[in-house]
Amino acid sequence: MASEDNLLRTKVLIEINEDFHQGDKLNFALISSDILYELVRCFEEEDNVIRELASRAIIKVAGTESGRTKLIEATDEDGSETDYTPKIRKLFDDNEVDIRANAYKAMCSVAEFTFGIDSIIQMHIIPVLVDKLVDEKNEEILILIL
Amino acid sequence: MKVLNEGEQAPVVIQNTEALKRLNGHLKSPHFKIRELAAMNLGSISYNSIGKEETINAGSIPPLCEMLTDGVSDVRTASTRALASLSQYKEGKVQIYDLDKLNEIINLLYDKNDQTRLNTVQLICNVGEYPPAKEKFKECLPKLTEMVGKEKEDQPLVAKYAQ
Repeated sequence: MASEDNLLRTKVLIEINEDFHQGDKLNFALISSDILYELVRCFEEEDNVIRELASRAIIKVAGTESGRTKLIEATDEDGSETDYTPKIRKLFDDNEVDIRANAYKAMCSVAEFTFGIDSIIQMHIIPVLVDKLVDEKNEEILILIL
Repeated sequence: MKVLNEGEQAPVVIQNTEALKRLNGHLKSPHFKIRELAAMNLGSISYNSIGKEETINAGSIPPLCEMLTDGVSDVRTASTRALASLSQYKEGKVQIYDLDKLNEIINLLYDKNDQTRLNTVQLICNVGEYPPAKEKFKECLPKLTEMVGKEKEDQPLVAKYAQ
């Protein structure tokens, strides 16, 4: 992931997405590496494919209890904009429909449990979503927002 | 949003946004899922007393009443859910009565969807507390009596509320 070769990084992300289908691999990666940090860092990449693959992997992370906890804990520790959840929120503004959809799907998974709901509300995401009710023109994304 | 609106701190946050106005706009969406989810959101927001007042003041009842005759079952379920909640307040009962939608509400007692029938019975209970509406709803007493017996086995909750 530290490589400057986008093709290589794309292949790594494809593999990560394939491996994340298996819960044990996903949990092991979260515990034993900085993979979450690296995935979220990819959200700032210019390459659409890299951003899409990274955001797709985050959906799988948010689909597990340990992943949700990591996403939320990172938010609670310092509450700054460098955290994971605010970076997912920034993808709501992405130009690519698929990436926006991935961001909303990941946020929906985080909100499946009470602690996730409370954290998201504290992150001031409701006003952002309310704005998106008029800004978002894609109906499928609007359904995800609602 | 619907899930977030059910959060403990959500009502205070929602109050300071344009959420209700924007959700009202989406009640008229050509996309049935958007209409349904907008109504579900309003139902969730109006779960508590602050939310009820705000939703009534935002003018959500007229478009929700229009949705009572929507061609899509899930949309009717969502609108009756929201209206059943809003009609717990006097202003809600009066508005629904004034909009002359009591016949449409009575017709929903025959809806194929169990949840819609249950919501409708609750809606009738609430709106029926307003005396002029009570008179009108006397028309549906035979149907309610029939529901008590008929739904006892399959839908005991509907039967219980109908009683």
